[in-house]
Amino acid sequence: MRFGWRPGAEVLNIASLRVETGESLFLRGPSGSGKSTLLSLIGAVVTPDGGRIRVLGQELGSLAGAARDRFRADHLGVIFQLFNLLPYLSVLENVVLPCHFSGRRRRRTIENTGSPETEGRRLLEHLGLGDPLILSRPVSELSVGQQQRVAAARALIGAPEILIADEPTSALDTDARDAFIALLCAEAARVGSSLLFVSHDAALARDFDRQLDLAQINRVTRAG
Amino acid sequence: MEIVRLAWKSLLNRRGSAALTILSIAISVMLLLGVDQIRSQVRDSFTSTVSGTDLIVGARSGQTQLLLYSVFHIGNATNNVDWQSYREIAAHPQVDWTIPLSLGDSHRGFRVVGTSDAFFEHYRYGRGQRPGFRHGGAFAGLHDAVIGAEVAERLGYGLGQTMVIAHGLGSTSFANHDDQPFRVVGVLERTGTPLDRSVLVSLEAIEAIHAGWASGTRLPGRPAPAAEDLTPKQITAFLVGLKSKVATFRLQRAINDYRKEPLLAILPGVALAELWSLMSVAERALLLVSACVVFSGLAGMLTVLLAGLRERRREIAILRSVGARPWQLLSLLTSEAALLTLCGCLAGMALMYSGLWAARPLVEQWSGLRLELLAPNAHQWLLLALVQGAGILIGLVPGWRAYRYSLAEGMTIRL
Repeated sequence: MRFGWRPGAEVLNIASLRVETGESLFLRGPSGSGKSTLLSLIGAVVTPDGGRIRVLGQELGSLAGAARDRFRADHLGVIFQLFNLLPYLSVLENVVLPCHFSGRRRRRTIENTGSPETEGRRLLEHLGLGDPLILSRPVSELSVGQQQRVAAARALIGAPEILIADEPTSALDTDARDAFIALLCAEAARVGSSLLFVSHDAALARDFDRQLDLAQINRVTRAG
Repeated sequence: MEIVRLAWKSLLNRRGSAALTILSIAISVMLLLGVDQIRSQVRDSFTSTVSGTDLIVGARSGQTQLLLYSVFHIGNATNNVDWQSYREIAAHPQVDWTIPLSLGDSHRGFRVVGTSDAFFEHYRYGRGQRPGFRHGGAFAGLHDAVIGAEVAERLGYGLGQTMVIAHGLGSTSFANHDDQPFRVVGVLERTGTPLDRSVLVSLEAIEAIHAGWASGTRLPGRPAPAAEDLTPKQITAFLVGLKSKVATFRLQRAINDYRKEPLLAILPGVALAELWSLMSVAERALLLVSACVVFSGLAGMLTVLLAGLRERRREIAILRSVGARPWQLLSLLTSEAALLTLCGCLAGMALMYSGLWAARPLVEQWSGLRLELLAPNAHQWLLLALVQGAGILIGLVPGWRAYRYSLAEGMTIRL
């Protein structure tokens, strides 16, 4: 599988990479090594220049634009490095946001606990944010650690098959970081999602089923 | 619907700049609607003033001029109609009724109209309504006066009030007919026409108060002769109702060809149409200016939205990551513009109506036009719809940008 943002400037060239259902994979790589690009490819935001990507048995390259959007909305939960939340929505509104864009995830929350809102509250409680005082606060007043846990709840709601976390702990201190990763792995395992966790910090790898160095599988070599 | 809700919350989060944008659109909408409201109300008021009158006859001048001074009390007559001519035309076999009008005097700024009983019998306004009496009735005695609703209200006059008529039309006059005071015997109901601002007396009364006057002033040492023939010698104009409309043009030609003095007969509808065509240039210019103001308000909104878009790329990436499709981002930005425009239109209407309400007394005092707070007419709804449509179209510009961002940058957040 090959990809470059611009013609002639290849960023990724990977012979093969396989993630099992329910597996948690730690993908390590220094910044600029193409981690985020790989996630965009798996998220079907961009399509590879050559080769194939299959997610959940679905060939992403064969999907039209709208179908890819739908696929992403239904099967993918994403946590970014920072600023994951919409400042004009409440904590709970942020969490249930994916249910407005994916009927599948909405149905799953209803099957599970009756409504997206109750499911959102339940997830927040699991992640240590059950306090109504926190729920009623504007998201901008939450600590970074709390914000990342809200983002995790949003990624988990509706039990998408794949969770993608792009350096979600880089702004957290060590204690918060370890607690966050433990919570994330436990929740992912509980809903049965595959977890793809990307970071430059090899010290975080111990909680994961498997770890992989992007530099080892990426055949594009770059100076610096 | 979810998208519109998101757009609304996003706007609330930026309520400072949103409020300013809404204000600028509101002011422009207020201008646009206000111009049109006043325009249509002026037209309605003019049109409703002459109802059921087939011809207006006066001394030869322009038809617009005759129309304006005879029924709208704007401007002055340059010449009068001889009483004999009036009697002859009134006796024409096709003529059903005539209302003589004698103008030139006033009472504290309100015009005094000399007329006859025929006025109360035949004058119609609006959709053929006859002006009714709120109090009292028509004049019977020589020094009886009937006043319009506005006169009664503004001056606080009731039945039995005595009043002195001034020579000429200024609001303050040095030549008063104070030797012959009048008594109010009737107050008319409000009609929304210049009649509200008129004082009606009999033609004989006009003749009586001017007896002994010459060259526009009272001659000293000549007391008004008491029992004299009070048949008028001249009137200013008269309204004609015909037995059959078919005869209108024939009689008009006959009057215009009248041998003994130069007269002019006009059809009120035709004269009004000519007046509108004169005014339409100014109206169009005003409408054009207010349309430009609306455009600049919407352009301001575009600037604000585009400037904000730069800071909202993260918001776009987040929405994209939770599954928003590019077209949903397009509609998010477009519905923001639509909401801003909608709020602007609503606020603009509120401003326009409160503005009209506040300006009412002033406008009435200056022009005699009584502004009503009427619901928007079809034309004004169309203008509002055009503004709203333009707002949505303009919203497509940032919407399209957001669509492009979401395709090009996907879920990556660039800090």
